[in-house]
Amino acid sequence: MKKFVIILLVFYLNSIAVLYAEKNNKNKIDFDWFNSEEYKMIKKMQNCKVKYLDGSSGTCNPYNSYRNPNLR
Amino acid sequence: MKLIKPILVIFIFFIVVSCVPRSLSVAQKNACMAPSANFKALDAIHSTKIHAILWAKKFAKQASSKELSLSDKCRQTQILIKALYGLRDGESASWENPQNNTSGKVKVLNTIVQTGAWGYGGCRDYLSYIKIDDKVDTFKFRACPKELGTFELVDSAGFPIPGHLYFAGWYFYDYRFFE
Repeated sequence: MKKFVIILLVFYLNSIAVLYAEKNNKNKIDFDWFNSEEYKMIKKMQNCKVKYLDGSSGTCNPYNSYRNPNLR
Repeated sequence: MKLIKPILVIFIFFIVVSCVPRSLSVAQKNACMAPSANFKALDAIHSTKIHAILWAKKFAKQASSKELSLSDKCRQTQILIKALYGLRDGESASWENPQNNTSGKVKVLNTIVQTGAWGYGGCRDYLSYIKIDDKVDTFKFRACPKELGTFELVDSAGFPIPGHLYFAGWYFYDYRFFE
């Protein structure tokens, strides 16, 4: 029984180590993502909020105007 | 011998759980959250909200399947943002990474014009393709510029379906629920 638990533990730790090693290489971005227009757009739109005349608020997404013609 | 089963269950649980949050949280940290590029992890989390048993199966499936590297997730996110904010219906954007033998494509299908607070007005349906080695996965999503605070849409059967993700000004819904 003890042997079985030890084997499982070793196997588990081994799989974690492999995963970590894999992910360390995987977690590098190999192009200039953070200076791209799209990244800047994400950052801008993620936190951008607008307040409408009726007091309600919404996201800055321009496609909101398709639902509410008053925003056009 | 009676202890083997519970130990095995705990062991599998630890392996599955240890795989899920890391890759997703790294993608989140780098704003590379295109739903198609993170689909299996997002879908597993999503299913915890709507189905009690299915989530375990999906967690296990996503933990064992091959996924895009962080760079490729960012590439997919880049073309997704470009497509949703900049492309017209029917147009598409794509990327390719020969080093990893991966590629991706986003095609905007249509934009729904419908007024009224409740509905799909402003939503954009799109197809997302992810190719890893020679296997192509196709995803269909509905991205909606919903007002803040509302995250559920009613599916074709009348049930409220929570979105997979809120990201970059859009709520993303798996299109399977609206067919």
